[in-house]
Amino acid sequence: MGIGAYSSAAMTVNYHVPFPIALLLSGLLAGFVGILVGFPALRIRGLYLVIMTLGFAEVVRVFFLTSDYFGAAYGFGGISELTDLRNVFVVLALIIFAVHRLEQSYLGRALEAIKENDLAAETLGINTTRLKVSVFGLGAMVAGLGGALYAHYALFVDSNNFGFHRSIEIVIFCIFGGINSIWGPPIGAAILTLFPEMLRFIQEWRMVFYGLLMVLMMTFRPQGLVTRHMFREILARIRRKGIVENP
Amino acid sequence: MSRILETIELSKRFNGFSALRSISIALKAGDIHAIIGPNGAGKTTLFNLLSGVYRCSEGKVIFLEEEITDLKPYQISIMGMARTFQNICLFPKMSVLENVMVGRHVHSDTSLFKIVLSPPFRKSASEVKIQKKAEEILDFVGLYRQREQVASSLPYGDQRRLEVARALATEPRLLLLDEPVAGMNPNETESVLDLIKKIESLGITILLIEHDMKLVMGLARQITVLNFGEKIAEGSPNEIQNNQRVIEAYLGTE
Repeated sequence: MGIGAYSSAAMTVNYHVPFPIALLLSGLLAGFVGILVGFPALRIRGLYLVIMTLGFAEVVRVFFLTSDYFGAAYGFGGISELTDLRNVFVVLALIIFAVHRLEQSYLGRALEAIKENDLAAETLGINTTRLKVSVFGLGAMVAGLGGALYAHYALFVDSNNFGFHRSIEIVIFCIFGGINSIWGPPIGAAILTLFPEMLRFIQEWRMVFYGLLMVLMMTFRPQGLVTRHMFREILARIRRKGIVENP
Repeated sequence: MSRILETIELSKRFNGFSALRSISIALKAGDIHAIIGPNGAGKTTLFNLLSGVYRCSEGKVIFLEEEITDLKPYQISIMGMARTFQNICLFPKMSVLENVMVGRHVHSDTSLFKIVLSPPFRKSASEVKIQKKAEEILDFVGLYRQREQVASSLPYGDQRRLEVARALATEPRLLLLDEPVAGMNPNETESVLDLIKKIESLGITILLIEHDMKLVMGLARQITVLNFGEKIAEGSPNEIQNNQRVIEAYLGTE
């Protein structure tokens, strides 16, 4: 996200690259870096992988903090306001569409197979290494796009925006919404961003409610708000009820 | 008949423990070949070497006249070798049908570009093709009716059958079966026996590890016996039954 934000900002401010192109290029750049990080990440999984990526985010943050070109500790300012609600929604819709198509294809099925049992997937002819690294890059690309949009909305980027706290916040969005479905993370992000805003009237106390919400969620629905087969299951339940009611 | 698979002096050591010592076997195309031996003899290790899950310490594996010793499992699978596992390795949360559809992966080649641009809410032509083929395979092994169930909800015997179906979906030339009837009752064993014969009739060569001697003697044309990581005998079921070293390995010496 930091990479996308800084690189797109540098492109539009220093080189006057049109915003859509800067957006695309910064997304690709972040994706490329994601692929590079993806290779060492192959050896580890689960929680350890999370910690590794958080660690790498710190590396990126400190890189921008010390890089004079990007304004070092002063941050990078003078960005024009090019992000509006409309283009955020367009980018989001395109990403969701693309990910949805991917999920419904044989590649999506292969990814699910890798998640369930990567040894079995490999012996069925799936190049698990290539797929894992590609997906890692894809995820980084989406983050990069997010960063680029953010930079042209905030108009000023500072390495602190992309620190540990932000990384954890994004992980929480995903887990809260449900990491197994496409709709989970955006819904999680929307709820967890709006919720503290709606509670603004109680001021300092609102973060208490935020924390409380987190605790309740993990207790009662640890799989996240939206799960992958939720719609299918709800439909099946309705159908079953229908059969019982009209024998 | 030509040789489909050959190992030359294959050895595997784990941190100084020698699991397999210079094993040379040759499989004829179209045969059913069994590997038997007491527990810990190295049978599954051999399978893991053949399918690329482990790297061998020494020796060579030749499959379809090409050396595959250093290839990765997915490359070997693409060449036409499929396997099942001793401890069932299905994709437990996916449906029976989806499990088999994963096996069609190597026969799917729609580009990422096409996938991302394909129209939503409708299955693409290639997906329909994959599904149809997977359904045919399920029908072949007798699991068509259970296709919508979650794989982990199947009874044990059916899970093994599903693993075979998934392996068949890759359209292998050689199928490695690791204890296909372990833990099954006589009825289930009987039906697996029929299934293996049906697979043989498709022209697929079968290499199988099995403890059930009735099954082995009834099916295999060639038997290799391993004990403590070494090949102690090889031959037809008849020869093996009368081999002194084999009897000693199984029953011990006086």
